[in-house]
Amino acid sequence: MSSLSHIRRVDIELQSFCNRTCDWCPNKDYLRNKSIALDDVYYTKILTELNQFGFAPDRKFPTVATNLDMVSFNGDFARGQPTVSFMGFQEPMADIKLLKRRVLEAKETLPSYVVLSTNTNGDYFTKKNLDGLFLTILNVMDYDCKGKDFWIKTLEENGCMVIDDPGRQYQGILAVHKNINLIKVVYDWPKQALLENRAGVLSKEEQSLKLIRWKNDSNKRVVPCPEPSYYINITFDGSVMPCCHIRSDISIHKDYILGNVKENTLEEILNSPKAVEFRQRLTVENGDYPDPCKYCQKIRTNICTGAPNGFNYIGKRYMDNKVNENVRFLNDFKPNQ
Amino acid sequence: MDYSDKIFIFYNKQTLEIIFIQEPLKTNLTPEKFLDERYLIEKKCIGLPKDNFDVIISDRESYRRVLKDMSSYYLRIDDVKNDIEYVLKKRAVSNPTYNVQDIKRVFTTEQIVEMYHEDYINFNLKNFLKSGYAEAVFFPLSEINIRLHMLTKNWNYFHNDRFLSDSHEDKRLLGQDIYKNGTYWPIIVSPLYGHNPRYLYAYEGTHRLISLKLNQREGLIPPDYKILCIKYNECYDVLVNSQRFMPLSKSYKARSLIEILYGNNVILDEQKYKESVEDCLSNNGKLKDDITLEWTVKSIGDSIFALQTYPHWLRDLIYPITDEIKPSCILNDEKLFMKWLNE
Repeated sequence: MSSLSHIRRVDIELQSFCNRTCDWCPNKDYLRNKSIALDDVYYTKILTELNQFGFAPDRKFPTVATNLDMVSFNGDFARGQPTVSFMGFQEPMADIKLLKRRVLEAKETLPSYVVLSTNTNGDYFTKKNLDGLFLTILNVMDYDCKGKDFWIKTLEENGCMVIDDPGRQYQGILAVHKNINLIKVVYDWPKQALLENRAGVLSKEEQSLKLIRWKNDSNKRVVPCPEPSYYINITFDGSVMPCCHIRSDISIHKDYILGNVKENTLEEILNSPKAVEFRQRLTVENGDYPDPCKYCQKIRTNICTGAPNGFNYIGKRYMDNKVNENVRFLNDFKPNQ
Repeated sequence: MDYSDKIFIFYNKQTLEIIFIQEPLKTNLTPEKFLDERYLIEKKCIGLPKDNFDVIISDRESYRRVLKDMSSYYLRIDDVKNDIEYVLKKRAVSNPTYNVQDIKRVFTTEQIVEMYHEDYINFNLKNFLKSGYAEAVFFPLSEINIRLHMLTKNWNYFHNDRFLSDSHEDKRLLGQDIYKNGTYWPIIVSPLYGHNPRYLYAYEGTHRLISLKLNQREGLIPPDYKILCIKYNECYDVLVNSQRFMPLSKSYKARSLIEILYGNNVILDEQKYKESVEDCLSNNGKLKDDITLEWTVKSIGDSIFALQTYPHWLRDLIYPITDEIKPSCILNDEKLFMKWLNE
């Protein structure tokens, strides 16, 4: 069976706890100060079903790049390597034993081309915690603006080797570790970040957020979104959500829970009328988008193709949240809208 | 004028030799400025008057279309039309690196040894280095930088050989093996596109380099350890992409298996095999034996292809029998290497 073959990314929230309550995170109002872990049995069920239903078959090479501007082996949402990420509204390294165990199980269960990644706030970034953490990518967010020098020193002290690739123009620090392929540190995160309204939970009118830049000024969304067509978000309580911003533990998002892995298979959940309708509403320009999406500024800039709903998407066209622009495409791909 | 849909071709008007091609992206480059710039920096202009050179403005879309199948074409100047012409080669070189890895003949150990030591090292590598287009240098690890390229992929994925599988979890294992036994292939290094040419980055051998450096950080490999690198002075990405049509000032011979040059059809289809051999012979090539061809390397793209054919092809054949085929001493001993190169 290959009914999940179009899914490129799965986020799994391993447990609920986060040690921080940041201004830019809904956790400041919807506390995550208790740890409730996704049961072993359901985690194993998720991995088994991903294999069973053909999650993201191997796509070894992106479309041949024809000049330097188009060489993009990294970060391509739809055509890059399929990814399982252990992130959500939690701090995954807060329970490092659980994270290491889950990563190992995923590594043993899923095909070798699946990228295993997570984000961390860096509070648990120690040599001991990194050792034996067999991730492909670890993203570190410098929420306290400790800066570049601090993080270079911290990386070096914890057995990581900092690398410098100015050709990529990456606005952060890159490092490798004996167990982790790549560590990416976004230093001074609040200064670099472009905030999104987290599916309608945050407002740019909030006093504490006035100083942070908002993506596209958080105007009304007029462009389609490929996220629910290529992505699954599974929260700590087993809920399946169509987007990483939509939470199962917030009342205004309850209506957007697509199902629960404790009750149904991933295939049943993603093919349910509710899931199909949600995806469909987001495939048109200037459409009647679901409430959490109306002012959302999450805009993927890559090319997404192959979803069963026929939705093809070229993100570059929509980078500025505009429609009907006379955009010159960089390749031969014709959008089917 | 907007040149965003054009390419500039800098060429010698007397010999019609194409010297440099550029897509004027993100710049306000004009053909006049491009001519001035290239004339000042191209070695092939030294001692010649500026009037000998000119710039042709051609269509970018056609160029990009051809680039997608770049190994199947060569470029020449059509001075009547004042444009470039894309000429289809008879020999259709497919992507040698990956797309034919699953279909291989069964080779004897002796054949693999011969391909590695004789065809790859003693013939292709030596001829390539003697062509003078790139140089071989034993660099300390500290002088080679690591690019982000491929680091977002699992180590046991792209080439599922024992070196990358074993070191998938502990990335130091590969380097420890290289330190003990040597490496099978040189590291390919070049500057980054548009960056300081003093800083060299690994374009082939990133995993090896990471592993060696991780060991060196922990004191398991001495600080003065050196590794053989092929050093290009221009960005390797540019050479394998937009510059790959550039003719070499001096052509030379390389050896490749017939299926690498003409596709796997030749293994299964006798007629295809015969046609391929005929084509090779008619292009100044010859048969070394019934499966290996000697062919003429004429362009940058050809030379990179010839050099990289065997590392990507042979690795899957050699790595299961590393007890029988060890890394070449020549590639792992600076004195021995220099002696070999000057023989």
